[in-house]
Amino acid sequence: MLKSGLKKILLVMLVLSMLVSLITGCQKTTSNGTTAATTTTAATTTAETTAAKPDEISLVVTELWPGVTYENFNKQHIEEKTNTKLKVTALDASTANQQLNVMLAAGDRPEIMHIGGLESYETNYVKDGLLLAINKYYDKYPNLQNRIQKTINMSKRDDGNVYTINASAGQDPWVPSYRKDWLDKFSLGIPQTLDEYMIVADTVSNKDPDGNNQKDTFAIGGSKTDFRFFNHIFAAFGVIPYYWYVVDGNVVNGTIQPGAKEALRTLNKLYTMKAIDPEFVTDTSKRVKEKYSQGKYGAFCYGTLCFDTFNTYGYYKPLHDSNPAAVWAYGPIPKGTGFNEKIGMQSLSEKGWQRTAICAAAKNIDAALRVIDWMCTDEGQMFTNYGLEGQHYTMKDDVVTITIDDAKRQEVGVTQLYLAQDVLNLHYSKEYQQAFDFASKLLTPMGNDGLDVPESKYLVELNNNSRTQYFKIITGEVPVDKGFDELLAQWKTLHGDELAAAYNAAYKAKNK
Amino acid sequence: MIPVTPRYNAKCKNNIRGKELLNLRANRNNSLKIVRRDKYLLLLLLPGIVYFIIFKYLPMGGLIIAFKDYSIFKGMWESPWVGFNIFREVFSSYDFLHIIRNTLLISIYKIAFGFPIPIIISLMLNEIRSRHFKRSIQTIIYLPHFVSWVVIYGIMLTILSPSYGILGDIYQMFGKEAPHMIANSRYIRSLLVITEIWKEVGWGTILYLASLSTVDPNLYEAAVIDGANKLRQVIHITIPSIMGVVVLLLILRIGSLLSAGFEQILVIQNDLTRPVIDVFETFTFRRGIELGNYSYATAVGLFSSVVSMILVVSADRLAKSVGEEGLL
Amino acid sequence: MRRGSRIPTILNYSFFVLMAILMLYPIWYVLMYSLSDPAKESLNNYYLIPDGFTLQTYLYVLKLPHIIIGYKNTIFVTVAGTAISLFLTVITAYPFSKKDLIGKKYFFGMMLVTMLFYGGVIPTYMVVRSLGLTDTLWALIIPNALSVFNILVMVKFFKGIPESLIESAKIDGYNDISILIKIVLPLSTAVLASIGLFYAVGRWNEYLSCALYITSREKKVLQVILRGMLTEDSLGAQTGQLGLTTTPHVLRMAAIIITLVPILCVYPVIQKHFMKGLLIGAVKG
Repeated sequence: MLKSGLKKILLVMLVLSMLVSLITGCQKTTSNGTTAATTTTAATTTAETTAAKPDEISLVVTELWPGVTYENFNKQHIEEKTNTKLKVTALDASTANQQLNVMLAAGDRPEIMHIGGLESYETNYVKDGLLLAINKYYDKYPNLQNRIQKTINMSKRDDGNVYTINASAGQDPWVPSYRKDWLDKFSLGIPQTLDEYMIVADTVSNKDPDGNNQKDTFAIGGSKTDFRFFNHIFAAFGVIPYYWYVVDGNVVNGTIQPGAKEALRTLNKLYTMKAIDPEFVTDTSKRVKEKYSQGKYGAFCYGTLCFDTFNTYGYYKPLHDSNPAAVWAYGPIPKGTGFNEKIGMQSLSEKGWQRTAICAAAKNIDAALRVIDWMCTDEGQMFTNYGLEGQHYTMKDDVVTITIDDAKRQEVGVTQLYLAQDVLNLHYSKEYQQAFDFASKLLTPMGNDGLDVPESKYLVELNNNSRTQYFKIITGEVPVDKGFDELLAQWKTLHGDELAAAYNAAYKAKNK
Repeated sequence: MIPVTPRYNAKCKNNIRGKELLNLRANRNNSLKIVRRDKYLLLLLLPGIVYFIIFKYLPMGGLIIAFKDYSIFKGMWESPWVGFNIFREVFSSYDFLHIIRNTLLISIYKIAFGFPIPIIISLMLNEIRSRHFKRSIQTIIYLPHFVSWVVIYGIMLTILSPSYGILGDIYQMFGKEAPHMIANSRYIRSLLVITEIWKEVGWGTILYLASLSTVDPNLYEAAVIDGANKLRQVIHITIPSIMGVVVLLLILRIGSLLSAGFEQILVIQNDLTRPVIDVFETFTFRRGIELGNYSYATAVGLFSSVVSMILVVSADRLAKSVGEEGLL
Repeated sequence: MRRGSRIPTILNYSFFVLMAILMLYPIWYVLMYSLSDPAKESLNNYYLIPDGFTLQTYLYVLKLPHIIIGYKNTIFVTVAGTAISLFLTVITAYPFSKKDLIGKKYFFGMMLVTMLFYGGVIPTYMVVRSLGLTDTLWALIIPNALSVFNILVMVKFFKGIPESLIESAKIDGYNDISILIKIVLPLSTAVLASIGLFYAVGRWNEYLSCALYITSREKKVLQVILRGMLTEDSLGAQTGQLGLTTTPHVLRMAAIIITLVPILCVYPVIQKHFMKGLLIGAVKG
């Protein structure tokens, strides 16, 4: 018995030691961030003669297509053009920020990296001296300067330097849109004033425009994640809610302007007359798209993609398939009291939701700059957006026709490495271009773009609270005047005034 | 060392200091004896301890960033010390008490309704005699556990939608309009509790059923012979047999009082219901993690851990004071 | 055997049939949805039957790059991880089930602290990295090998084994380890099956640690690959840049079914062991 007990101990220790050796054995495999076995020899053979050895740089980017390799034509071509060898580490989108932080904390210094999300991320990295001041290299890399010049006011930080580039630049404007076929049915035109809009709203909601004897249509629908659906009502009064913008040299937030109170009053009226889908509080944006495609909404702010007859992202076809008679048209912001031509719709940050930066302490800064510089050239832009002319697309009269299908695009890797991409819309239909141009004119730039102040930690709570109070007013849970006064009081408690003061000081300092 | 002989011991017995020395020596000898007696047990314990030290205690040094203004570049040690400032900032948030209130309300609701139900279900299932029926039911009821909250939210929209859902249709039959439950602060907490029970009750029966399966059937035979009816059998045999597991799970559940269902609430919340279902974890997520403010997140986590510790130890003591086995 | 009157039995059975229907609905919904035509998907649908039956979603998922690798990795992590975790849990739990283990209070306290206090993502990452485990599958197995919750549950079950059996074995000269292997384990199949299931399901669904530690494509796990195809969760969709892009919900549904099916296949095997843990004849012996 004792002997068998001893045997058991020996067995246990054997297993343990096996485990330990397995663990240590695995150390020999990669430590961090290697790619699959590369077969990119083809890229370097052509540039043999006078080429110096290609510079190896490492990139940490946010994965665009999960699971899809970066070892493809796209990467090879970039390497060829810039005489580099790219070691790409792709981070899963949902944890990219944490993962990047963790890698940086452990001492990694990739040449190029994607920084996502908030202004405060960039600020933190700059504070710690992690990022390279790109503007210092303008003479050597003029294309960089050209691209950044477009947004120089935003991109320049307090110390006068530029540390990041928008990795994927492009606006996504929304525009007041209407079911023109319904308007025609009741002999109404596209509303130009708020009064006209109210009549249209009532008609499309309550006069049974789809003729099925059911009250199942609304003027406005919304989702709980995107808040631009009501913007035309606010713009009618010259304000933009949950948004900082510049009026007469001052940075203000539309949420608390007097015009907002009147807009809320109007929205409450619309809600009471059943022109607003009550499910706007709980619907997801997918749900809104579905309801729009089923023909439930007739007069609200929605995306310009709805006008793309090429059906990119699937906004055009579903509506027209289920309602062949439907005609979707855009219109101007209906004018109300206090309407201001310069104040219209929200726009996205010019600095980008995803930015590209270079680590100051990286080994091969020159090569990194070289890559980004090439991507900023016209050739680089066209390549990033579409690939190579003749192989992946054809172009005639400024219209691009993509000649490969989605699967091949992924295989080739078009747009996969977006480091300084201006998102081009040359491949959309003419109708989309027109809608896009029209909507772009309505955009009001962000007032706090590129401004990072310590008080911006109050932003999220301010917006959350504003929305809650707004929705209470709109749905009638609290009366308009009382509700708005409460909102102003809450604004003070939540440091809204301090934030405004901070933004104003920073803005004025930047624009002396 | 002083030689220990019977004559020496006899001499020491009458000496107080000697008595102390004797005791110490006896204790030391006893301890060594016990260690030798338990040597295999301690050996078995060793890998676990090594694991805890490496993967739990070593990283625990990171808790220090709750007292620092953590900067990734400067690292843990170089970041400046700020003492309790971050804690002060957390506690003085205008909505801190409100958040705690929400968290406690929801958590207590969930424990009060959600904890007993798997137990009752297990007891009822235990009475089923058909093995096949029992097994199929067991498999079916734990399936919702694997459906993510995002999907369940979609199902909720489908069912509870006032315009298109089953609920809406039922109300329309009576000519009324259904309340928009998911957006209603008055219904939302109940909705949270009900959907969580729906999702987790099956999974929760696993341990209880496992426990019930270890009961010796001879005990039941003996009870029947003694004339006990079904109810008495359940009270005197079945329930005591799972009491240990019940108490353990209850103590642990109380320990995580501040967890009120992060993923569920994140998915289901909207702007009208947020004031009543914003809980500790969503608050932390917004203020700490989303903003990349690791010091804040760690400070809040530390606070939460301390509270959990107090709750667990108290619950354990309480259980022992009423005669139950506690955690161990 | 126990006898009961008819009415409670009928009530019992009908209650469970009702309950089963309620519980089955979400999975049924998911299954029917996954077999439906993506172009027709709608939240108005109750999905009692597929709306436009098609297998194209499953074909699409199974043709995803690296899906096979994802499966392979997940299976490895689940099997190896469960074995290692179960082994460690058993050998850690058994000593605690002994009333008079020396230093028990201190060991227990030390363990409890690790359950309640967490050092943080970055420090844990640093430890894992310094051991050279980053970007290996072992990073998904070792750092979270032991769950204190599972250990405590197992201790409870071990304590339920009659002292008399252990005493008589001790008298016969068996040491603790032999007792564990020859007596305690065979009588604990119910708890071993349960805890094994908990660990296995945990590994199978593991997502966060893979996202954190793994960067090479060939080591990614099934859940990461599946979640990746849902662009609604992607950064672009969240921040509104690609605010108008929405993937068909069917993908999410197919992902759930694909994740679930292997577990469903394994569970019946485990269920058998719930029945086996009976002290047949042990007390009499």
